[in-house]
Amino acid sequence: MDTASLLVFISLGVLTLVPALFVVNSRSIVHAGFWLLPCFLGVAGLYAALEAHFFFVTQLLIYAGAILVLVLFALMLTRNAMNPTESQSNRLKPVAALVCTAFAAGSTFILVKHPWAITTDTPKPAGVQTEALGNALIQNYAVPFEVASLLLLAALIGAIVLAKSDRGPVPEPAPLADLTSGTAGGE
Amino acid sequence: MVPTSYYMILSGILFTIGVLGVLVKRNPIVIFMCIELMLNAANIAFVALGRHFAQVNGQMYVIFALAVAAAEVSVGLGIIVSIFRTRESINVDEMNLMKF
Amino acid sequence: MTSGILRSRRPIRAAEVGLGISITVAIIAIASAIPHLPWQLLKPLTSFVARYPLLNALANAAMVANFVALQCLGFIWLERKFAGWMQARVGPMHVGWKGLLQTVADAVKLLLKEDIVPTDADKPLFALAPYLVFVPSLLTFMVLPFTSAWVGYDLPLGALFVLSISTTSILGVFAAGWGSNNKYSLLGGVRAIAQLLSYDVPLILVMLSVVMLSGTMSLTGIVTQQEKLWNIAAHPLLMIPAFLIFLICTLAEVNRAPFDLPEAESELVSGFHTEYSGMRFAFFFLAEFANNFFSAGLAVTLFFGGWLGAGLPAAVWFTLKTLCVIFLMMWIRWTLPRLRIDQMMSFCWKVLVPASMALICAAAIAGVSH
Repeated sequence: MDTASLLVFISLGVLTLVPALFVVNSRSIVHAGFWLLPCFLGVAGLYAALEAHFFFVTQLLIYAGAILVLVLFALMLTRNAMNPTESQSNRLKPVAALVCTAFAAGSTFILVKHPWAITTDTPKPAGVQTEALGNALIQNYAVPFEVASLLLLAALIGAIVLAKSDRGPVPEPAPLADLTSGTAGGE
Repeated sequence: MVPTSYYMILSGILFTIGVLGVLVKRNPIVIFMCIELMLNAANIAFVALGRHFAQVNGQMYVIFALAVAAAEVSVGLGIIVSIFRTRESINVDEMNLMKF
Repeated sequence: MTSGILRSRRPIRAAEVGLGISITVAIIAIASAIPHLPWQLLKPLTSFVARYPLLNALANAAMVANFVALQCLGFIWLERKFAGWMQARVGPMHVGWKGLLQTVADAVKLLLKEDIVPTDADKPLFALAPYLVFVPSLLTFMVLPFTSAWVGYDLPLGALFVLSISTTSILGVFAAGWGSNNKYSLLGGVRAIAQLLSYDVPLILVMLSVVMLSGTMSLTGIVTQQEKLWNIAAHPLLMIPAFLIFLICTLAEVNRAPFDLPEAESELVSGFHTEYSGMRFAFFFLAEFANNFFSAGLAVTLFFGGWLGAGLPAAVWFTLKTLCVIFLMMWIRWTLPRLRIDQMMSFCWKVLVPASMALICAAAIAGVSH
């Protein structure tokens, strides 16, 4: 293990974990949402360090580009729903923090006790890797792939049903001619 | 290369942070964010192990996890927004009815 | 909301410097995590720089940033002259030859302007927003192939990378709209997000159809396989509609008329960057022009054979073609009136998305029959 890759790993790890803590701890919900961005970027960087190039790009596209934007949009639609001056956590916070620290310490202990050997093989170049991924997707994993597409379709329909208001279609705005004919608008 | 167990430890810690958020937060949207953290942690573990064993399976799981995450977010946020429309509140401690 | 008591920049400075540093560190970390980043512009320096990944990444970033800043100066001058010509006036004339240095003067003016933060603004978000918009547009230039050798980093997944990076700029728009604590900013931000998200869908589908015909996602690869015939000539029935959809989508992505609803001056003052002044405003502006140049360059790469051409050097060909596409975009901008928001959204979802879906099917059939 060389120092450079360790350094990269540590910086990416900090970039992932510290913002994640801020997400949990931040009082303002919008700030919590924006703390997710460096966290997702850090995860993307970890994928790049693992030489999973396709996921480096997909992480940016799906998490930073789509999911985060959706979450922020939902925040905007439910704004003022929760007063940012009062605590955002329930009363279980100390207990939960204790349990989670214990869990993290335990899992770290187990993982340290069982070190996987360092892989020495060089991974395939990105193009070949992506090609293998695509081939697997339409050969061995064709059925799960189709199921995933069905899931996405169901989600699409579900989201439309939820978003559709019961009030019927929004009326067309009056044509521009009617608006201007009444008052003599000049600049 | 950094040993795979380092990635696993990082993934474990990230997952725990997500669990903590889900346990203590009162706003469902923040809980959603924490679920995303947990999914990301799992994805890191999958990619790291796929790299370790030089197999395509690990990355394949990540693809499906991404699809599930996208579906979950769109429907979940839709539900939250419609709850907000009818009840003017989205505090999870106050949501105790299946029907509203 | 807009007026209120204004405060000078002092209280925000430390936080902002911290943000700037962390963004830079993030970029460098990600760039250095990608192995073998080539820096091929100045060959003699390459061997020295390439030995140190961090230096390499920094050099790349510096090159790209300088290019973006400089092309913007020329671009703004061109745009002003063109607008003047379209409206039968002369455009800027006083600073430098034919007003060539007008943009420089404006940049200096922006640098000297007081940096104002509204009192009730969400200060960290307000400060972060310009960078969140600017950094993605900068990063897209990393993969744009000016010539076969002149590429920041020839990523094998270049086309996908471009899409994913450009979608992250939505977050900056959101931060600006939300952080300003101004109803016009918020409205502009909501419009911008809706527009960018919706027009991303047909854009992705159209680019996918080009990728399917080319059989590669690397932007350099897409150009090199057009060696015999440009894409637009090789499959005219497919690629001419594809180019039109691409052009419409990029016009919407870079917020140019007829799709400039997020900053519709007559309705929203100036949309999501209403509250910005000084250097922060300049960053928004720079990002917009950088995006504009980039999308024109991407159109050339995908449809018009990139740097390929006879006689002139490759980089000159690329620039000439890109300028042609830019002129097309300016022509559209200064000719057409602004659309209404509902017209724009329904046009995207009811016309462009089905059309680009049909295009994908056609591209698949064409790809099989090859």
